Formats: sequence, structure tokens, C-alpha cells
Amino acid sequence: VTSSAIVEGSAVGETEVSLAALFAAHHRRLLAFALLLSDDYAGAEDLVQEAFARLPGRHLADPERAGSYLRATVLNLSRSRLRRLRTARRHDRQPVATLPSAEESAMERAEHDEVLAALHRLSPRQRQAIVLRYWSDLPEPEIAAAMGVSAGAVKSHTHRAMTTLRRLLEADR
Amino acid sequence: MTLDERLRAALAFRAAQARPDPTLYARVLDRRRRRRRATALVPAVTAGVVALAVAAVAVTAPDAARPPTASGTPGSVAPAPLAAVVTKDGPFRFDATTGRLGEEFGPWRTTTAVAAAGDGTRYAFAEPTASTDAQAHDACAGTIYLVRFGTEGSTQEGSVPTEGPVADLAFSADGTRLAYVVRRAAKDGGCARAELHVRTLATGAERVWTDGIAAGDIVMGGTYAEQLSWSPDGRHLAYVAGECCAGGGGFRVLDVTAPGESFLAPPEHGTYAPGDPSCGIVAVAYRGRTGELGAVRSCAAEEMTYDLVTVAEADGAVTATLARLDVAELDFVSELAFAPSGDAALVLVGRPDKPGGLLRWTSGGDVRRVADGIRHVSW
Repeated sequence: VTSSAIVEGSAVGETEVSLAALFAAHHRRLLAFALLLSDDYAGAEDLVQEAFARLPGRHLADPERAGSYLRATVLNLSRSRLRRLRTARRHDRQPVATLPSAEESAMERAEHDEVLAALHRLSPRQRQAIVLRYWSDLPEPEIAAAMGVSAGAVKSHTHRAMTTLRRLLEADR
Repeated sequence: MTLDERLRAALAFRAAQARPDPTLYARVLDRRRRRRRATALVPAVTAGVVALAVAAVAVTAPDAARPPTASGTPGSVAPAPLAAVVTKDGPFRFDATTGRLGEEFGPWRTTTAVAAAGDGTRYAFAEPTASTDAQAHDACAGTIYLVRFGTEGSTQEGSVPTEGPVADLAFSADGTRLAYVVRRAAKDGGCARAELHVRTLATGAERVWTDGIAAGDIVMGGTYAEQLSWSPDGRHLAYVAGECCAGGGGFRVLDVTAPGESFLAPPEHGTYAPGDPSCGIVAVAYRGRTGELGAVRSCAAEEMTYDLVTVAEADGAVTATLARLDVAELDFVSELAFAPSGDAALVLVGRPDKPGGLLRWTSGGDVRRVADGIRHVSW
């Protein structure tokens, strides 16, 4: 038993959850989330590491709060990261690189790549709104809370994002 | 296929490619550790700069200005096993030479006490139950965790539930026994009691001292009946005790091999240093394998002074002065821990119930501040 797993089932309290338990519960989905927000796999892993590294000790006692905190950290870090990357890739129109998957046919993969490439041409805020809505399946108020904006701003970002996506995907056909 | 559906499918496709590297958790732990070290280093670097300035002055100062020293060659400090400290982020191993935090014991944030077995691998720490209060005065129970550090990190070797929060704990020199003090709430709402336990780790057998020893050790504000320290032969247990409501306090030395309650001297000895009512003993710890009893003696003749000394077990008479400690006005000395070799010590200074600074004394007479933000220390 590692020390970080000691807390589980111990007398410290049922609500107390160890970092190891939090990591086990959240890291895979958080990595997927970061992958959708960022442009590359290594960058996504870096975001997840940083989010867990920054997790304050007080959140370890509250797994639900810790989950929200981790998601918000990845969100904020991805925005800063994208802001830096966008300068370097302003004119880059290369499709988003994806790992090969045996389960997916070439046609399906091409279709997904096309959508993902369009997604990555959105502004960071628009992309976040889309990912939180269509992948995290969060209701509007929770998206607003996660992004730190008003519900109206979420609507606006989503609407603009969808308009841009439609235009980009139609233009590519 | 609508745009919504295309989006969902594409996002799910991309998300499914998230296959975390098995080393990711280790990298997270490493990054957390580095962040902590970086945070801890800020005051240490500041202290280092100050220490360099002080050292530069000391080089040019006459020898007479230097504090009294004990035997030993200045600066000749043998490598010591890692100590243990508790910060606001929980318990960590601690390199007393560099002032750097080592591995964290786990994601703990409410640790009330820590103990190092002196071999650099075995440690114990106490956590209150059902309380997120860092000081945990209101916790109604606690748990002591025993951990061992090896090449692959830490492993839990056992745990001991306690019927109150643990005020302090200490391994015997041979590592076979653990002494700990549990605070028990008073039934009448008055002052709490302190219970002293000595546990044989292999068998779980315990001997408990309550009233009698505890009668004078009653806890006031969680600061008394602490600083447990074993003599190298495992016969004596020194600690600092306070008397609830009556005020005052001092060190006591209990003979744990004798039946009943057997002090080396009556409990009131040590409250004040013999021959000087303006002085008192505020911290005690055996000086490692030397068997001498180290202490911090504070005197308030004209201004408050703190000296690291060795004292007689029986009555607290000073047998040698090791160094004068630089303690800021209004600060107190709250804990003392010697390296197992006895040629270095860590002294925790600061305000009650707040993280303080660690002074490191070496047998050459050098005293410097090596860390800040420390709640407890053991070596």
C-alpha cells in the first residue's frame, strides 16, 4: 500500500480522498478533455500533470470539488497555452494529427479529422464552449461556471462556434 | 448527419485516443514535489543570503564574539539521516543540511505530530479524525501512521487508532517502541487531560500513564505534554509538560521501566532552572547517541534569551551551553530535535500555533535558519 493510498478506507474519514484515488478517478477523462482542448498529445499530458500538481491540499477532502477544480485548471491552462501556440501557428492549416485506430475505418477517420481540424480553428473560448457542451455534456450554467463567464457569453460563444464550424466544413467539401 | 452529431462523434473519437501513460501519476507526484520544494526554497534562499552576509561578518569578527561551542570541529558534520517536518502541506522528509523538503508522506494536510526513527527510513505521523482544521484541537480521535521509505517510495507499515488527537510521538532509539501523547477532552468542560502511551510496535502491547503524570500535564491550548524524547538506552522518556490553568511548565523525565509513575526528579523540577528563577526549560530532547539531555533554556533577566544547552536529567541544572539562539522578540521556541549522532540539532521557533522557522545548530557552534513554514520537526 503506498502512502498516498493510505487514506482510502482509513479512519481519517469517508470524505477524505487521497491524491491517488483522485488521480484514478479523473485522470483518463481529464486527459481526454485536455486532448480535445489542446493541439497535441504531449501538451495534453502536460496540462493534466500541471492540473494535478496545482491541486491544493484542501480539495483532496472533497472529490467533487476537486474534479471541478481540475477541469477548470485544465481549461485555464489550455487557454494560456493555446494563446501562445496560436501566434506561432496563425497560418497553419494542417489537419490535427490523430493516433491511428484499428477500429475506425479510413473514411470515418477522415470525417472525424475534418471536424476536429475545423474545431481547432476556433478561438480557444469557442472551442471550450463546444467541448464542454458536446463532449462533457454540461448544462449551460455549468459551462458558464467552468469558463468563468456569463450564461449569455456561453450562448454567444457556442452560436459563433457553430456558425464558423458550418462554414468551415461546407467550404472544405 | 447533423452538425451536432458529427461534433459528438468526432469528439468521442478524439477522446478515445486518450490512453494515459502508466508513468503519468509518478510524473504528477514528481511535479507536485518540485512545486513544494520551489515554494519551500524561497524562504530558504532568502535565509541563505542572510546567512552568507552574517558569515561574512563573522569571518572578520573577533573570536570572542562567537557563541560558546561544544566539542567537535567547526563545520565537521557527518551526513545525517533525513529528518521529518510538517508544513502546511503535510509531512515531508527533510534534509537538515540543505533545508530542502524531500518526499511527502502522502496527501495529508492535518498532521498534528511527526516522528523520525533516526534511520532515515522509518517515520510516523498522526492525523486527527473527522476534522479538516489544521490544528485539530476539536478532533475527537486520531490515527498514527507508520511509514517506511525505500527505493520505490513509501509504504505503510501499520496504523494505530487513538481515542483523541495525538499531541506528539517519538520512536525509541532502537525503533521498537513508540511513545505518544493523546489529548483527552475533559468531561466537565475544563482543561483537557494528556495521556502518555508507550507502545511496543511488534506486539501492540501498550503501557499508559494518565492521571498522576498527566495530572500536571494537562493540556492547555495544545502546547504542553509534548516534545517526547527517548534516552538512547530506552529507559527514560523526557518531555515538556504544562500545568493547565495554573500556568508554568517545564520538562520531566519519566523512568518507563519502573513500575507506576517514577520520575528521575519530582515533577516540579525543571519548571525553573535551579538557582535562577528567571530561567526555564522550554524544550528538551536527548542528544542522540551521546545520551546527554539537550534543552533550550530561556531566561528573562533583562531581555528574553534562548540558549541551547545540555542539562542534568535529575534537576535541569545546565551542564554545558552549546549556543545562543537568535529568536525574534515575541517568538518562542517550541520544539527541539537532535540528529542521531548528537552533533546537530533543529530548533523550531515562531509564534504558538503558527508555522515557524527552523534553526539548525551544528557542533561547531554554527546556528543558521534553514527553513520556514514549519509546524513540527523530528530527527
